[in-house]
Amino acid sequence: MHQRQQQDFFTSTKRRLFGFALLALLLAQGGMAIVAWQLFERELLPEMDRKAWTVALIAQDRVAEALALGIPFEQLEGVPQFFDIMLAESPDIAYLALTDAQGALVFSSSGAPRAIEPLLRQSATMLLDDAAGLERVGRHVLVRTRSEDLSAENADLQDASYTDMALPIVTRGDNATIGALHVGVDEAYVGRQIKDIAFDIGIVMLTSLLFAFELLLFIATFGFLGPMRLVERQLTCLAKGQFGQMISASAPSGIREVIDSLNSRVRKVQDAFGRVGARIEALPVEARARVVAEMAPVLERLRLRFALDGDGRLQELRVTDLVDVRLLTFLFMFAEFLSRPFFPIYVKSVVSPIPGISEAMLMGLPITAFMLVYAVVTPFTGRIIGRLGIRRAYALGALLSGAGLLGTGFAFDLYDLVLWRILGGTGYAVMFMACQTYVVGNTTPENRAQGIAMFVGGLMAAEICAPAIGGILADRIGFTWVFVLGAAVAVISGVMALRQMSQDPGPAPRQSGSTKAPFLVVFMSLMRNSRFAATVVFASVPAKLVLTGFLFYLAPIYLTELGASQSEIGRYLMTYGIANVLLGPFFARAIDKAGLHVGAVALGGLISGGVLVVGLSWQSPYMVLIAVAALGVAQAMSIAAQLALVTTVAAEEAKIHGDAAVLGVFRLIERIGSAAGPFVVALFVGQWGAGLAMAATGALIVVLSVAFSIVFLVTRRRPPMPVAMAPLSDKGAS
Amino acid sequence: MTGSIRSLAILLAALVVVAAPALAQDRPYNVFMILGRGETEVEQGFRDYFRDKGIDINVTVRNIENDVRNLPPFIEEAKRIRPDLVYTWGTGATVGTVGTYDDVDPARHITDIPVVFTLVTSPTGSKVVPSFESSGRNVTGASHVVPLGSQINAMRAYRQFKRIAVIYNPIEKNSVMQVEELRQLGVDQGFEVIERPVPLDAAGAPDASSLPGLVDAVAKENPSFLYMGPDTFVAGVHKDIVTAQANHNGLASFSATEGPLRAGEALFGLVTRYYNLGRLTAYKAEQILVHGIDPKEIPVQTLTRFSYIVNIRVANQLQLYPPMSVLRFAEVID
Repeated sequence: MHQRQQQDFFTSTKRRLFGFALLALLLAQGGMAIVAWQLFERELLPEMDRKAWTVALIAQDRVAEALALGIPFEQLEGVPQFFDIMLAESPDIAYLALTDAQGALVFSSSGAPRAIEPLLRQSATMLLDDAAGLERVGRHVLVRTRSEDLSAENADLQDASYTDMALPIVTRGDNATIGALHVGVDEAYVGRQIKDIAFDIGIVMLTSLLFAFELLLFIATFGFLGPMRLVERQLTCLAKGQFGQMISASAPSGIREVIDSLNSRVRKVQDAFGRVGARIEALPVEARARVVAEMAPVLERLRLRFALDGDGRLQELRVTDLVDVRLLTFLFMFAEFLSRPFFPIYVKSVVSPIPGISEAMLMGLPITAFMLVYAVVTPFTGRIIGRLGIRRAYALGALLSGAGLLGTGFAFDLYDLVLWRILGGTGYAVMFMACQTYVVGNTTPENRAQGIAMFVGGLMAAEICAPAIGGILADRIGFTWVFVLGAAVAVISGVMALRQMSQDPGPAPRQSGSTKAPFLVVFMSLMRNSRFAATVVFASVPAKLVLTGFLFYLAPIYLTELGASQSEIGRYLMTYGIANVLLGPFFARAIDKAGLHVGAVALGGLISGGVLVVGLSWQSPYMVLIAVAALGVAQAMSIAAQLALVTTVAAEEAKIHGDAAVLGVFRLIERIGSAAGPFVVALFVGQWGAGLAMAATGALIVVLSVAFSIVFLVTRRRPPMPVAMAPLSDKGAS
Repeated sequence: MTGSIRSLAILLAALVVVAAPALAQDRPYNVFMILGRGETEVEQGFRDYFRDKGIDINVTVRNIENDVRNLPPFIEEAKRIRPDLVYTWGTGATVGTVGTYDDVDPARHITDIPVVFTLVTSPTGSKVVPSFESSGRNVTGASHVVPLGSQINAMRAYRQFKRIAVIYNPIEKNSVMQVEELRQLGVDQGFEVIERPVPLDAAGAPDASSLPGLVDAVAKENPSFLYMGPDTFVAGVHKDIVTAQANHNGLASFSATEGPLRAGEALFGLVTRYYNLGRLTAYKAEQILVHGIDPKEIPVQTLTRFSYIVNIRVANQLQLYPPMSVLRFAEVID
């Protein structure tokens, strides 16, 4: 009861602390957002209007000059081209046009919609009639007509939202109005800008909240709540008369003294007990025999009752929250994911063409290099971690990753870019495995799931906010500086690891039953298992292939082709992480409960493939957005189920070779799929272009999913086995 | 390498000029000008440059009246009065004064007085210098010709074309070279060039009386433009006849030099402004006179900024108006 209350005290303190801190942050950010919004409205909207006005005056002036040279109005030459040049830098202006004295369209910019003619006539007529109430800016007269006002009579104008700004064209000699110049402000563009800014503000808020949350969790746990909880545990033990444990944790000075003092008391008691033993040892032989005979049971009772140990071997109490691994995971993935919305586009801007290799292939090559290195290096990370220890291995990984990102940002050409990516992939693999090993080493099988949840939590937070914030930053500070930022984050995470990760918990425990069979033997025996082979080849590899091939490679390329900005692409890619976070746990539980692993894997594949095929019919950024979100859902459905399925269908092999060996084979093949993704999709892009490549990728996934289903239908006679809990789930990571 | 060292030397010299504009000058520099047809805007630019710099020059002007046979007495005079610098205008006067680099005769040519030439269409083609980097002798100068590629772009900016015509004097070496270059560009860029050399009379001189008929014949083949290169005979002496006859046939002329635009009836052109050319020439003269740099150390240059000129009166006459985009940068004359 007492213990229970104490736990509640800490949990509720933490909740309240977090609640208040995040609420305060949210309020402050909300306030900032409102201020930013007002600034935007106050400064930017009139600025856009001024710009349209300036364009109008310049165009009017040029036309008037040409007329003054004696060129007849109808014979003005190259007007559309001239208008197009003027509009090249003004996406907010839909058209420029000239109408004659009757209000009929004479010239317009090439992109002008036909539907505007009634709008132009309306403005021109008002201008020519020179109605008394015309708007005046300085010595200029102008008429504004909104397309909405005319859309009742003109069906063509119903979807349009232009404000037509018309200025008279006047001959210099007799001051006669012989026509009008029109500037069409695209109100929809303004609306889009407003929406974009709103989204950006929202994403910046979300990202900083996530960051704040991760940091708060870390600081609160290690700086205050964790040590306090240890003090409380120690006091509880001491109150029960248990002296067999010491606190081992760094803490801020106030708590530090309490801890030190408690530790020294424990030490004193232990030492005193030790001295009794030593005194007895020091007695002459017969006296000692007598004392021992009399005292031994008493001493033994004392030792057990107060957890005393003459040798001074004490249990260490440490903070075992694994919040540190959560923050570190978040940071190194954040660094790497920042460039996701623009990476292929960046590659295109850096590499020079190589004869015989398509541009699409070149754009995919660095991603493939990264994934391949990740797949190849991962099996060797155990040795690195074993030799250096987790902390230093992580720091080394962070250094490699930081150097890789920095080099990527300043790459000259394909060759050094691939080299930098190889460096980055190595670092990423080392950090990834260091974090996993840390989790395994600091948890028992009972609380390992919680530890994994910490790791996955960091991963998902990065998955959500890094691409989005990366896109926004790329739009504003450029690709190179986003890489520099990523490098800085990676290096900071390395420094944090050195300072913060507790001493190595010793070599990672090998997972059960590892009889050291050669990789090839395990591989061959697994591949003879048709269900295992089907799961890996028809489900896991395609799932990774679509992840790297579509999400990392094709989506940024295709969205850029469809005219999306970096911020938009980042937002779209973020939906993958959101879908995954929101639905992942739900699916994992539901599928486990219903035992529908085969169905979930098949359905996940069909969804992710199907939505890409459908994309063919609607070539719009929104279609890509839907595909990315659907992919998030499908992967949430499929990946956890795959892992469970593998351990089930390969249960026999696992008995012989051990879980670790089976999982090792599974992971390796799966990661080869990750590496192949951009390569395969690039083949499609080179052949048919981005839009069709998306559909082709989808078709491939659908076909493989069907093959997977067929294999499992044919081999149905095997009774379904209970699905074991997966030992380690690194879902979503690739 | 030596070229870049030389340009560096010139750059340094130019810096010295900026740093110390008024070097001690105890008497005005004597410049002896041998011109074609009296003073032009080139000389105005030349004189203004020295006036702006506060450098006194004392100019003697001699005209050969477009006939190199009038040249020898002036060369004699120059040798006698020994000016600080001889200034020659146009290809004829320049070649007559300094000779071609492979045929120099100290008796007929000036060799021991620095010579600065200007308005030479093709200094290498007419063999005044073997290369733009250095004359290898006591000569340097400035050329006014706009690169042919830029001229073609200028024509395209006005209207796209598939076919142009050129009338040229076959005994002017630079004209022939220019036409050859034009033909090659036509092959590269996919346009046709109608080439018509001016027929020669019995004495081997180009026959001016054939020009109107030649223009009429060319116009019948419907070229988009009549191209007038830096040809002394066609675009210089007879510019009015050629351009007027072209306009009469509704054929617009494009000119690579300023004359047919200002004094003739050409519609448009991309030219080096004579005034600016004069200032460039003066800069070369200053390096010799004030800074004592050996002329063979001073490269021959053309200007890099050109003027796009449109004659709006001709445009009106031909009903062929300049596009709005050209009006943004063109100088419109009447």
